[in-house]
Amino acid sequence: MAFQELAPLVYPHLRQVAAAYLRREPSANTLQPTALVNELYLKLLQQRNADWSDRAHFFTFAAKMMRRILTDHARTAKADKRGADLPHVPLSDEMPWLNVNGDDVIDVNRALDELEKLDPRKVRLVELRYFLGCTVPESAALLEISTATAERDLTMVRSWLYAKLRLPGSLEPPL
Amino acid sequence: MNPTGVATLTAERWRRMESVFHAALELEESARPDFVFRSCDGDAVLQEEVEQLLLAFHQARQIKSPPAFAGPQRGAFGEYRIDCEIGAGGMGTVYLAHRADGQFEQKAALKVVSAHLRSQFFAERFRTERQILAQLNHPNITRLLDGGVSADGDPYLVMEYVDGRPIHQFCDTQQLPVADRIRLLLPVCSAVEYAHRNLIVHRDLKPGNIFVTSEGVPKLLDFGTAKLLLAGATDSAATHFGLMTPRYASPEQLRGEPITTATDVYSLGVLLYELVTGAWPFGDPESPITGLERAVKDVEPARPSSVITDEAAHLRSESKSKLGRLLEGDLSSVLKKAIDMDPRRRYSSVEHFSGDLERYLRGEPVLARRQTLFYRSARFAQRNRWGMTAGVVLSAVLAFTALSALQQYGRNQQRMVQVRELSESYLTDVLNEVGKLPGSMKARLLIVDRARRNLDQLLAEAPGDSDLRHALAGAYLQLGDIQGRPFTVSVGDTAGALASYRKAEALTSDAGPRDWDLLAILVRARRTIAQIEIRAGEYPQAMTLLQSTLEPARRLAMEAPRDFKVDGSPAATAFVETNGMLGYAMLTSANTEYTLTAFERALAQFRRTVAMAEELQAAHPGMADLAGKYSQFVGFALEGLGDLTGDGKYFGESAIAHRRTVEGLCKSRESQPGPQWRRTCAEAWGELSWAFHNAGDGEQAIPAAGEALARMEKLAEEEPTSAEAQTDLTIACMHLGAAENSAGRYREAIGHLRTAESRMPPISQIPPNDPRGAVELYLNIYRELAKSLEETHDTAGAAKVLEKALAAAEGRSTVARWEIADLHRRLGRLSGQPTHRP
Repeated sequence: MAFQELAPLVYPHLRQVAAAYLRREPSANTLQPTALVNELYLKLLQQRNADWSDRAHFFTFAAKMMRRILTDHARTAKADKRGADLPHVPLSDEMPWLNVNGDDVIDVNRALDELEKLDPRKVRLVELRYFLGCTVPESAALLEISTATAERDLTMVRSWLYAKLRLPGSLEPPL
Repeated sequence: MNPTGVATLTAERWRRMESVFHAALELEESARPDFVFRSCDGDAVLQEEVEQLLLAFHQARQIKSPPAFAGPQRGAFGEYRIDCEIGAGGMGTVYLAHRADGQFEQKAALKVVSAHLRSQFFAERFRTERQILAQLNHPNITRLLDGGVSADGDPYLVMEYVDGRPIHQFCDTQQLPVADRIRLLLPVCSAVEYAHRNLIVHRDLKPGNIFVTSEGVPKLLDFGTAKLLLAGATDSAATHFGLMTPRYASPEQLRGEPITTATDVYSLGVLLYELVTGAWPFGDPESPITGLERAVKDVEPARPSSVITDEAAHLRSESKSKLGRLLEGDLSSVLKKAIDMDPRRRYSSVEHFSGDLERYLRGEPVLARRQTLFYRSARFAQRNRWGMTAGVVLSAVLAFTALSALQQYGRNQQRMVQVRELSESYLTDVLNEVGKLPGSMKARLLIVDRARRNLDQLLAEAPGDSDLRHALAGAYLQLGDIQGRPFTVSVGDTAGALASYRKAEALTSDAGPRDWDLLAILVRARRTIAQIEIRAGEYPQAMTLLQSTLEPARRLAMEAPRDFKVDGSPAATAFVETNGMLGYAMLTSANTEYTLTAFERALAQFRRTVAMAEELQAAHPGMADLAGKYSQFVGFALEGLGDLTGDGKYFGESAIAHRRTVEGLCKSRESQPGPQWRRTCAEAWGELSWAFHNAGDGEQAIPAAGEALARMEKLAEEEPTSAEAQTDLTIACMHLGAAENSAGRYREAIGHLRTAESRMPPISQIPPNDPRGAVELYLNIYRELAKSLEETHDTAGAAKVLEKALAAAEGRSTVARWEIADLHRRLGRLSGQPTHRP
């Protein structure tokens, strides 16, 4: 199933993505859970030859997949000009300014690509924490770092992303 | 604005930025600018970057999460008007609605289908399915009231609105104890069962879909909407995924594999687990980690008693320790069986699941615990090998047989060409592949694949040609055999085999009353399909199919030419075997159902089979002694009744049935070459002695056990390396010892039982899953031995043996808890007696 077909499935759930979509308190009538997660399952299942015996490898891969899914989704929405009248939905409560329903995800994706060359561990951390919705201790354990280090790293990356996306021209290299 | 024009960030600068940024955050806000200035030591770029980071840190903290987003406004939906949104999810959005035409003041739940499903709709199919669902009429299922397509083009469904709360919330608010929670789930099971009978699988059972009204009546919401919504959808895995809830989804659902009623059993199992323990069986349900792990590998559920908290106990009006004990026993087995990763090991139906829950509530032993049944099932499975050729299926031979059948019927010129091409490609491929490879598996796969493609094509081109249909049906049968005929060596593709057999069946199902060739294929195809279904635990389907096979099989036996063969055997034999297989399906099913009716039904069927066989054997001299073969099954069915009722008369009757086997079948077959028949006969003597033993007739049990032992000894001598022969010998010793116990010859019993014990492998070497039932055998030996020792007044020795039995049994998942309890009880009884040695 092409992602284009899946995108509409993703839309109604963006509110759920907001509150770290996997941790959301399921309300009585809500049809749980998100198609996003299902799409992730599907993508993981398609990795027929992968060896998931290494738990950390599996989850960092899953997190990376989730980042890709959300980025693709944002690109599709942009191309279809469907994003315009959608509400603002944050990627995570820790980054309420970061709107999943717009170009932010594409920009974050690009920034993370850049950061990948400098500090790949922080990129993994962002993926686990904000894209896959792991807790800080879970993310830290998977990356074999202390929770305190993970918190520090996240504070740094959050500020850096905000500066990159929201402060005028600040950290952009000259064109 | 990058003042110096330095291009990209370097790793070095990134590290410095990071360290200054964190150090600055440690300080009071007023001290930061100065600190940054000093730390950057004239590096203006770095300084600006850190300043930006700090600014970003502050600004980002000011931003609050936006309010939740309300659903879009919708247009009119037929007679209904929307009041407010009450839920949203994968399939669409649910609104509270009311009838706008003023006819009824009825509230309703209106579900608007998601756009992604809408695009895949077929209006016609949607309508038909909706009518079927509208007929679902069960007190615990919400009615489908209406549905259609709105003015805006959105498909929608209108359901009865339930004013209540989700089942888990209801239970917790009422602080319902465990038993009441189970009682509340029973009507839910009956609703799911009802839907299954209407061929509807829910696929998405979860607390949010089960509401309890203020009167305490549970109601299933959304029944069948999943199926309805899929009516026109392409059957892709992604579509299925969109319609489930991973938390309650079965492993097969998570993997996108075919969904059966066992899927709903699984979801009900998880639901019950949560209702009684307050926890999810696989850890933290909200962690993406547990969710994803379950999708890609098997994860064992946690023991129910290990996950409870004080709060959970309080909500169930119990103390934590009492709740823990409640969850330790049979309930834990029921849950384990319901949420088994392997659908074949799960309860085969919701009915069986709820049956066990009812038994639990009544304090009766549950099926999930009845390990002896597994033991007996294993014995059936062994017996069922009788009459099945277990020879290796030679791919090339089969392929050429299929070809010759094709050539025989390939009369028209064009088809002839095609058939010849097919045969030539076979020749080349088969010879090449078989010649190259030590094993023939790959060659077989190749043949299977080619054959399927070619046959499908031929079939498509000539749908009406009856000769070709016959040839193709025969070829499909052979194809199925290569893919995966039960009890034979094959490629092991059971699903493929089933599809092929079904094609063979479809091609022959309209055979004329005297079209013997087609009828023979039909009978053979249906019987093999039934065999596969029995193996998969689909007993009702197998029984129905076999019932429908009886008439064509009877006609073949009674009216076809005398030498007509079905599957290599005389038609009369095939008729008896079909009857026997129906009995076998009933008996296997009875083992699971464990009811009087079920065993009696199986018994009646086997008695019929034996009578029929006697009659046909009289008319066909030289026919195999099937009456003897099925007589043994009469014995097994009687033993089932004996176990169930505790009535010894059944064992007496069972012995008579086993005697018929020993005297008839064994006498006629024992002289045949090869060890197989002799082993079968030795086993039959053992079964006879066991039946006498159970009936308490030791004097008759002893000679039978002696016969079995003598035969097994001979076989073990001939095959000194065969582990199976050694095990058989041990079992025979145990049978003899048990028989001697029944006859009151305790000292001789001790000798034979000690021999049996000495022949057993060390307990530490028995693998946890105990595939050969060695622990069970140990327990049988020790139970009998303890009895003989106690009878000879060696109480201490008996106690020691029981302790050994306990040591062997404890910690073994294959041993039923009641067996351990029974051993403890025996031990306790012994220790209450004064110890005196003879």
